[in-house]
Amino acid sequence: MSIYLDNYATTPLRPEVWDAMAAVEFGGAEARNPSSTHKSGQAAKKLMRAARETLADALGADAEEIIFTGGGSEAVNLALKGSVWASGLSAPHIVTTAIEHHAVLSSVAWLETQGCSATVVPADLRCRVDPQAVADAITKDTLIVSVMLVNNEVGTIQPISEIGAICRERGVLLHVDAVQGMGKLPVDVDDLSCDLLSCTAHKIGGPKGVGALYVRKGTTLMPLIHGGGQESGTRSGTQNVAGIAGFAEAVKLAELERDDTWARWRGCRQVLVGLQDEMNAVRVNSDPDICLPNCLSITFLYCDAMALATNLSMRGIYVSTGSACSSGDLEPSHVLKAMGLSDVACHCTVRFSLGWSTTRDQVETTVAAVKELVDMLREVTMPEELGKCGADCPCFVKA
Amino acid sequence: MVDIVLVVATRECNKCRACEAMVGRLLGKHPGELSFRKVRDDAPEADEFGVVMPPMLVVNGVLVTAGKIPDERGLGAMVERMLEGSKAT
Repeated sequence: MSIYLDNYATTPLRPEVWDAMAAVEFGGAEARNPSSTHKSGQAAKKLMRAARETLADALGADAEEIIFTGGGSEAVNLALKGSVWASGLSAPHIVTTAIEHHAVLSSVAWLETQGCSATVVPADLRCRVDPQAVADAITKDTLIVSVMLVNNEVGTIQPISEIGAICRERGVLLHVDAVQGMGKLPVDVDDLSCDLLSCTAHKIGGPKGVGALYVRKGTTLMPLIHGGGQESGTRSGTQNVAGIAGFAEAVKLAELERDDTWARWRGCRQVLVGLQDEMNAVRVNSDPDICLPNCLSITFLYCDAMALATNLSMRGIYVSTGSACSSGDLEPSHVLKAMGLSDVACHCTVRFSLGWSTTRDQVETTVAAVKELVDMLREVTMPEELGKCGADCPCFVKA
Repeated sequence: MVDIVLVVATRECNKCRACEAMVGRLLGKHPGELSFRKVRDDAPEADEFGVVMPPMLVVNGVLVTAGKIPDERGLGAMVERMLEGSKAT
């Protein structure tokens, strides 16, 4: 049996979610297209309504403020492009941060090619954005600020409520990318003071290809997809009813089990954090005080992370690295770089992310394998002159 | 006996060639003690190693490096240690 510790990439589907989805397709109600006027259409509409209410309850929103999409990236694109297009402004300004997911950064980069301007706010060594830096970046032309709730590589929880208060005061829209936070953290759109919030099902045991965008009443968006006018005209296309029912089931379970899940994650995190004390030249990049307990970014200096991850994979243990294949070479993570990690450190960084199915035994097995492999791999890649690097060593962090 | 597998790109790059040359020097230093296979990254055998980025050097089932050239002295030390281990048993 494999050990899956890459839950920030995606999570295994929960059996309860599968059952909920199967009930839509194969249950007695024969729920089909919610736009149809016959009984099977109405059954689908009823399921959609229930799912919308579940999601709205989890966000402290009204059901009418939830727009279902084909995933988190689509929700982000709809939030950013839709609000810019709806504004009618020729050159609106956007504020975002250096640690955002590519769904945000690439959307903003594309909008810049269409006449928008953007300011990218930096993050600190803990991967946290300073609300004052966001405030300073807002200009008279700023239309929207986009900041993530939880960083997808380090797990840092961003000070969204503070940023939301600033946006409210300055009269600009706030979009929150809550793809990694929703279901894991309690989320209330009023506490966050956000106008738009993106989320997805597959990070919490739901199906892939289903997401949602919260749109505060009074916020206007231009659709990305035109057609039959589904989702109040904001997102055309026949809804993925089974997927949406699965999303709602995943949200229900995540909300219900949060306390127990967090306790389990905290125990597992302790085991992983122990690597820093037990091995030389190891730095935990995820600060437990401000990070979700299910994400640990760890740098094993002078151990090639890709080699480590591949060896773990050969043993049935799945993690991800702080580098990505790009144009035939390994590109260091933009998030780790934005935090100030050196390129060398980025290439030596592994992300362990825990999910609904992760057990302490699995993490202990992983830690044992990591220790053995890192020692072995360092023989080949670790310079002899390397001493015991502390967490503040310039080997890890750019001077 | 130490088993070395080098996974190279279908179109070999300089790094693939440098890795092969390094393994060649190791083979010369330990005649008859090392087995060596060169595998293209599109070969079925390469799938077992979960190809990430060639060149990939696999020593006794452990992926030593991916997408880069290993430290020659470190690789030599690792192989010697493995050979000593296999002789001891």
